[in-house]
Amino acid sequence: MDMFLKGAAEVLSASTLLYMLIGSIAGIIAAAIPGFTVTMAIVLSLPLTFTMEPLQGIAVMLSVYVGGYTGGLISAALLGIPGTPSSVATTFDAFPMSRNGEPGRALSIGVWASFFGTMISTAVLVVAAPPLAVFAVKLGPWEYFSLIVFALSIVASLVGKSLQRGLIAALIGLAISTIGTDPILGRPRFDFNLEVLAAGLPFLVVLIGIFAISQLASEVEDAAAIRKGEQIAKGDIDFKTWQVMREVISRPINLVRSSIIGVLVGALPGAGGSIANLVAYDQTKRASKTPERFGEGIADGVVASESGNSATAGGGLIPLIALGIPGSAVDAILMASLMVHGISVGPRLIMDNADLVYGMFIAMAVSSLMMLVVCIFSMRTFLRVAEVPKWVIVPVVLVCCVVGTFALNNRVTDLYLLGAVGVLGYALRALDYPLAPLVLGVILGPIAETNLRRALMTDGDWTLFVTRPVSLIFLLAGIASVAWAIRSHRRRQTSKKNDEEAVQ
Amino acid sequence: MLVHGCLIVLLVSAITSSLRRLPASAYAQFAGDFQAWLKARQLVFVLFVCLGLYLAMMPVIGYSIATFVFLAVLQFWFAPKTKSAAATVLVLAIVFSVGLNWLFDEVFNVFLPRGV
Repeated sequence: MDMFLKGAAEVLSASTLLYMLIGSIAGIIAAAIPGFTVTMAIVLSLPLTFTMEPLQGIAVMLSVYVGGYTGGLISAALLGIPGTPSSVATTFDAFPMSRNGEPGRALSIGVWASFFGTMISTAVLVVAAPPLAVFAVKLGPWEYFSLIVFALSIVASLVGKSLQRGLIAALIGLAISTIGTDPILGRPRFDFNLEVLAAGLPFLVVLIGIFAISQLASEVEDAAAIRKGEQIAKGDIDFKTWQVMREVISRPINLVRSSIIGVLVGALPGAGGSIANLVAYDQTKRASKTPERFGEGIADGVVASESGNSATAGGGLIPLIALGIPGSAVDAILMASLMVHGISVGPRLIMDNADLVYGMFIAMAVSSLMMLVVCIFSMRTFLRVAEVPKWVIVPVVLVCCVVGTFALNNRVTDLYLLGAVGVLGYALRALDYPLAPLVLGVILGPIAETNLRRALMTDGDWTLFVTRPVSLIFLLAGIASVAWAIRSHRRRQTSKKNDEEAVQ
Repeated sequence: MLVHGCLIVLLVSAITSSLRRLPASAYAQFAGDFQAWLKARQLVFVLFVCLGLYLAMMPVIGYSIATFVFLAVLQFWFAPKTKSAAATVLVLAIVFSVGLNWLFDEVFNVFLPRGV
């Protein structure tokens, strides 16, 4: 309880609240700009939080995160362009709704659904994370290694269309993580005697290069579209705050179901808001009495999509806090920011830094409240944000990436690495490889390696990995997840073939 | 080291198996396709060339000047050719080169490269 109050005091101090307010506004603005993802917004806010206290920094980043999931709604509802991948399903119903002359209602429903989604997921997080961590502390290096193998296999099979490409991306990530200094013996390896590689590839540089730079580059692919600005939907924007709140609350089953889906999807490594909103929308449509009205501007669709994607924020924090395994790219950045502040992330986090963890819970709740208030009072202003043309965004954000990378270590060589990783990331993206497994490979690689070698040093017997029951379960689960992915892939292919035959 | 050996073997085998899936005709069309692709993605290449030059020049001429030039060149290249767009470009270039440099120096105590 002491720790809880300590965490609360730090989050609720005036300066932290002010920074969080700025953070949630920045998150909403960033996500409202098409082509600027939540991940990018958080990557860019990281260097700005270096000088803050650890909890203050992480609270700001959480508010950017929560704000960002809502901001994607603005361009989804008004332009029909998802501002971030996590609001794809929002366009299905919110856009028709605003076309039918109710843009204010569409936005308002989305904002309220996001708010409740975040709140429900925070509640689940508070309940689920501590017991899981207590269990995880008992795990030895064997179990931990097997757990990470399992996590990586889920990542590779969940993300993208092809299991093979997912696995390749994850392996490239692991290979990148072996460059630099050996974590146990401190020997240099795979550095080809290049000074640039001697310190390894810091994973923040890889994150910025892979996500931000390659994303920006793919934004300018379409040479013609970039030169003209886009016009925003015109219409009466009237918020009707309380009326809509009752409307959202009157759909408790939909709200809770979509939020739980969001939490579960968020807790799986590799899957995030971009999958959750589609799954939640799909489930709601199936459960609905009037599925044919979905896609024409029905409130249920907006509620499902927005509460689903917002709920992944809390879900993704469960494995991060309890196990030290990030569930998505965004959680990886949050983990990085904790590590930059010298806090070791793992199952002991909740015991050693209880005030920090409780502070994070409170920060989640506070930032969703802040997001709500900010949206209600200034939604009209944010509408203009979606009009910012791409030719402004791309170069300016590139400069921000470069500055952010440099500020991490004050090393000029990091900038060269950034350029190289950016080109690699764009190449992979252009070839349709999923990027999330790669980044999680880079982050989980060193953890897996350290645990593996610690296990072998304690006892050189390889069979321990399969004779220790918990470890065996994780390894079998890993094999099962790959097998399941292959099976569903096969099934999809045969059904596609059958379709083609039917057409002929 | 055994672990890394396994990784490399897996990676290479995965890559070769995906290469094998390509139909033979794809190799014949490759040159033509490649040129079309280059044309379609010209702006991406402009972007990466500028970024490379920018990063290479930064330690030499300093952050402010390099950023100003980079922003101005890239934005003028992408932007519509109108007066108001040009004004926006210049304002943004100045704000992000001089302004960010000041912000990091004064507020965060991070010294961006000054050049020689």
